[in-house]
Amino acid sequence: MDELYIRKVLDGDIDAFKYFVHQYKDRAFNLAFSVLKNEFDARDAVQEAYIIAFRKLDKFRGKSKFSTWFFRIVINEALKSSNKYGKEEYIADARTYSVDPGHLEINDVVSRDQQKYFIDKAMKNIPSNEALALTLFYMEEYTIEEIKQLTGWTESKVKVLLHRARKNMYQELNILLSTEKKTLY
Amino acid sequence: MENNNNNHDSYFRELLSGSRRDMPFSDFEDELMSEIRREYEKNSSFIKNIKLSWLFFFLGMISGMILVIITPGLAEGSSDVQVNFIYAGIIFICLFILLFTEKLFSISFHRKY
Repeated sequence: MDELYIRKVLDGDIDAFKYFVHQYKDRAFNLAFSVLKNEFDARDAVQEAYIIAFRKLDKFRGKSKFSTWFFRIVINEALKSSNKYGKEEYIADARTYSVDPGHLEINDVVSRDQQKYFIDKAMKNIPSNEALALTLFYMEEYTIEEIKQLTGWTESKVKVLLHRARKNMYQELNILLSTEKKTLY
Repeated sequence: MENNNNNHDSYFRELLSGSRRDMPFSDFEDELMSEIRREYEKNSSFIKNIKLSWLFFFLGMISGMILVIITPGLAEGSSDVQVNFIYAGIIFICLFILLFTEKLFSISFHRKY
């Protein structure tokens, strides 16, 4: 389907580009948000990525899926904005919580809406590249090989980032949940 | 070890599946499409301008060549000062053409967005 619309756009049917906007805007926004942690910056990054994709559509050779090619642009734009604005606010501190999934029963403690709130908050508190790794691997369900292609990271970097991201997420969630428990009881 | 990793993976998949964020701006599509249309129009006029630039470039070159051919005829019987002035003019035009050839080539073939 993507190929058909690419052909249409390249033949001058500009409105055909709306297909790509409609099809990928949410996933693109989710990726950009994981890096930038701000809705307005994420929207700007996605908009810029779409404009770049439109300009360079004739250079798309179809070696990979359109979505892979486009998300690569989105990630590059988001990381570029992140570096430009110096968005990295996370400071690794000396909190040494040792938590594993068995000890962190978020489902039992809070409601579904609260759960989403806590996960969002925890995602905002971990470094951008870790949040991106988590989003790509767990939300978008990309393989490590695909993440390598999307980000340009090495396999070991992807694995290390995922490991750190999981650890930091547990840590952040644990802190947030213990604060919540204290408030409740 | 592998079992532990699988536990982590399924736990995180479940945890994060509910926190996907969709584009919250309802006007995003329309705004972007207007931007894309503007981009397309800009690009179209750019290509038109490039074509015109090449046309005038070749016209200029042809005029320059004609000037070079007819200048020696005009210079006959003129004073040395006038001849030097004409040749200086021709050299200036040649340099100008060389400079613009480079610019025109880089704009036409190495366009950067």
